[in-house]
Amino acid sequence: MSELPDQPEQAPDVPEESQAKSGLSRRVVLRIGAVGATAAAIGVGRAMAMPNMRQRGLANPDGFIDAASISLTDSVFTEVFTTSPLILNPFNDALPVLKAERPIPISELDPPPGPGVGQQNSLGNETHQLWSSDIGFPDPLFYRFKWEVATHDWTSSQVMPIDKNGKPTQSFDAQGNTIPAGTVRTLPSSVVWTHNGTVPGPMINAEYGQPNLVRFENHIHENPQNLDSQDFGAPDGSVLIHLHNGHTAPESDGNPHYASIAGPKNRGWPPGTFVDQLYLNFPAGFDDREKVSFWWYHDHTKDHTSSNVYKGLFGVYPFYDPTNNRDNGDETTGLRLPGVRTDNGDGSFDVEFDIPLAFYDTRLEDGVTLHNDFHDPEFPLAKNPRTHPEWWGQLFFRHFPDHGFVGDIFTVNGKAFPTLEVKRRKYRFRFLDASISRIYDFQLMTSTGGPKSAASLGYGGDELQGQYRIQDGQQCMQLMEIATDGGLLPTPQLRNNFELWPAKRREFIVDFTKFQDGSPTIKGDEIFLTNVMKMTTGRMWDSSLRFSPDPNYKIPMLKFVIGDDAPDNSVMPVPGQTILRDLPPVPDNVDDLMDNRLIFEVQRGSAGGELEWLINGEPFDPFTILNSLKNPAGNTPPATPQMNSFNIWEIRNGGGGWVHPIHLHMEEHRTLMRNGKSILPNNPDPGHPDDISMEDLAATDPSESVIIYRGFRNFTGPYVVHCHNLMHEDHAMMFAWSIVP
Amino acid sequence: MTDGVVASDRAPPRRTYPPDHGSESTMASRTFTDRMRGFFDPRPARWRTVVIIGIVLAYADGYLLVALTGAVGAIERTNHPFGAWLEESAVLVPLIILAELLVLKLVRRRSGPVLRSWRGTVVAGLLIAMAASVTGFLAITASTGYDYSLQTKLIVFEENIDNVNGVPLVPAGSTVARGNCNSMICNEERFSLATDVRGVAISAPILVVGNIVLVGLLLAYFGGRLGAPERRRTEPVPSTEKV
Repeated sequence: MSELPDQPEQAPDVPEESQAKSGLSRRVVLRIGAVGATAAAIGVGRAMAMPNMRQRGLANPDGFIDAASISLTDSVFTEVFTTSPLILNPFNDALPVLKAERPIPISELDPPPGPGVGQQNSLGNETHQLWSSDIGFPDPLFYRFKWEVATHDWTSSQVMPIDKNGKPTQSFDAQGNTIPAGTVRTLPSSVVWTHNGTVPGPMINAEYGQPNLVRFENHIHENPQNLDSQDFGAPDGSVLIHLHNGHTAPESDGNPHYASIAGPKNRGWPPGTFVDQLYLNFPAGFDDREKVSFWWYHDHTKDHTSSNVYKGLFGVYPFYDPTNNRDNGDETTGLRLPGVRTDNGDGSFDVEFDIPLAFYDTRLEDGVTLHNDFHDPEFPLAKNPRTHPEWWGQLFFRHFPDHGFVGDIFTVNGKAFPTLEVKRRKYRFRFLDASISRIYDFQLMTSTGGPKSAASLGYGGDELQGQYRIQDGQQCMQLMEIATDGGLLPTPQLRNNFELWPAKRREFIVDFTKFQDGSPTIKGDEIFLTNVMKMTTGRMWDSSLRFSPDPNYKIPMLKFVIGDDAPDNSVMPVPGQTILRDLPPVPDNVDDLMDNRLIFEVQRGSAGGELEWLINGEPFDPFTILNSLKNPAGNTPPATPQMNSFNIWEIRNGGGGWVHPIHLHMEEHRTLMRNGKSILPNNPDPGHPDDISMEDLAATDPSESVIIYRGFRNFTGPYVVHCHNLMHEDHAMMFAWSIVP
Repeated sequence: MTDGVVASDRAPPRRTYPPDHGSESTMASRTFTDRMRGFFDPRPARWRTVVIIGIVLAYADGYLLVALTGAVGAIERTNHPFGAWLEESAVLVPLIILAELLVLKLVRRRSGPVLRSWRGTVVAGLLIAMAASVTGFLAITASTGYDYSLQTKLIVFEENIDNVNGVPLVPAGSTVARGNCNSMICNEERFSLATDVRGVAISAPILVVGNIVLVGLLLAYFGGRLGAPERRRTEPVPSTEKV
């Protein structure tokens, strides 16, 4: 083939024997070294990475790539948030205990609400599908909720501005002038969007059989104090309120599918408009077994839900069941759950010892963090990207990157580190996670040393989240779980701790007369409701009791101080003995329905930022009903269930190291299977013990799937399913479905 | 001093080799087949070495390409990344082998068809790593460009949904910070482009370092040489190149 000898003419100068001998030795060393280095790299990599990958659902072929994608994402999308100033005197503010909003006479609403054509909103283009008289119910109680700009204080404590290392740093006044590091400051009030001026919004204590009609009026544009609404919140001031998880007609549901194609035909209700949302307060299918116990309302404006909720547009809606006085807020009757009811004479009522707790994490402006967001063009006055020292101490928010938003100050009912003096008796607490992305894991703890600031303990960066820790905290009480987002449990569960995912509700009875070891409490004892789940980004937890707990991460959020004795006629229900509810049955032919189920897979995508979240590969399109993925029967049916039908849906988390709380509007569901395993009749996944009851939100760990059974009753029209990590929802992780006649 | 260094010190000067890719006239006198044979001559490496390095580097670079797509790429391409890795890396294999052959040709021109010094082997290995990195970088850039085109379509689609009721999200003439970019579409496209570019930029050093480490490891596996063992090289091996 070649005339050219492939060897040089010169022979090697080194004796061949010697070269071979020494070369062999060197080569063997090299080979052993290479094999050893590879084996060591694989071994160390497996030991270090695999536990974390398993926890994040990445221990599979796709996860092998996804893990690298996540790391690259961290490098590409710089997740820079502010460091809130340190609250210097925690647990000095009283917990705001919400009082029931009082209804108003219909005469105060002009024009008056009613069942007439075009009477449902200010645009005159919608009519209530059902009016209370259509179902033999009494007239509604009427409420007026004004969406308006107001101010809110998260704490009365003074603060020390700190940097990301926890060291004192400079702050700024309202003109943007620098104030030297180490100066103790009083926080300015944050500008918020509110219902009737409060965060959380007014509480409605609802009762089955008594409809409520809320007239939501948009006054955001009025802003009489000329407050600066900063650079987040729907830029046109639109608001859309969803009663979560109201069994309501679409026109009263407040979802962006409906709002886009009917009613406002907009992302929400723009300033100057109003809408009457009628909550008929009957259980789905008029089936008593479908009754719930705790709803809440929150903004659902298309693309701006997270920022509007974060700006303050949420409130609670506890539910009571007067049937046979079963759960009517009176602890002397029915199930005898804690509560002393006081009727206000106008249809509203308050219930003492029955306290909703809305958890919400926030960040405050530090004046040095760059504001740089996809939505900057919608806020031209902010002139972003730039820093905003003039907003120092007020709410800080950014959509980008849209993994999720977690705050570093944890609040309860709108206050950071509040205190509640409790009587020595039993209480019912209704927990709500109103956060954008944060998941909590709660325990009741005592601490000898008391809370210490994370900064003083030497923590920095993301470890500062929560601001205070009780590192010597020990669990001191258990909680008796009685209800989830789908209402009462069939029978209570005694819990040492419990997770609370975004939008989830869970209800507990806590007996403040004794500790879990049986010793009695005494006046002045302090008990901390403590979050033990570390979640430094919006993706998922870094550590939790379920996976690799961090024993030093104990964030006290609410301090209970034991007070005086008080009469207590409530009865602690007994797990396995007390029947709190009957569940609606799963039909015998459920296996026949299984093959033709509708399958929806939530996924992470990317469009360089904004459209990062998809379902079945599609971003949210309010004008197109989503089809199922191909099911075992080979079909891809559209999400158009018939009214009064039941169906099986499967929700798959596409993985990639993300958790997704998936919310299905309009009716609660029963979980049939999780990860391919049946949980019926009473065999829930240990990580999701509530699966045995009704829920409106399917909590999915990475790569998990749940198969649920639910109905579509009483109403027709457009609804949505979406991720309740609101940042995901705003970025297209939502789909349109519709009930057809 | 190792025997390799000694060999290197005594390596024959370059001028002792015939100019295997010499003048234009020489090139012109060779047939296409001969030129192809010359190009596909792997010396001073062996085909086995070339192919193994090509496969390993292709799948390493492909891993980064698919991971980057998952991080900042288009939604349509982010499903089933493992399968995508297998497929897209397979496409990279011949490209990387071609890059290797180019490097080996260069090495052959400078040092002859046999590398007798460890320095020569190291230099050849580094050149191969760099050539693979350039190939990988070009592949990533092309992939990202495709991602960007898909992303812009999706952005326009999404904005059209938002504006379907005729309500512009941004009033005309709004003053915004990013130059004259006064629409959400424009803004998102710029963000998308900036993110893609940042992703490509971040991938470059990862490619280079990763490829150098892998080539180093593979050379170590091969006993520190690209070519055949000494005893084989002492036997005449037909050349594919004409002079």
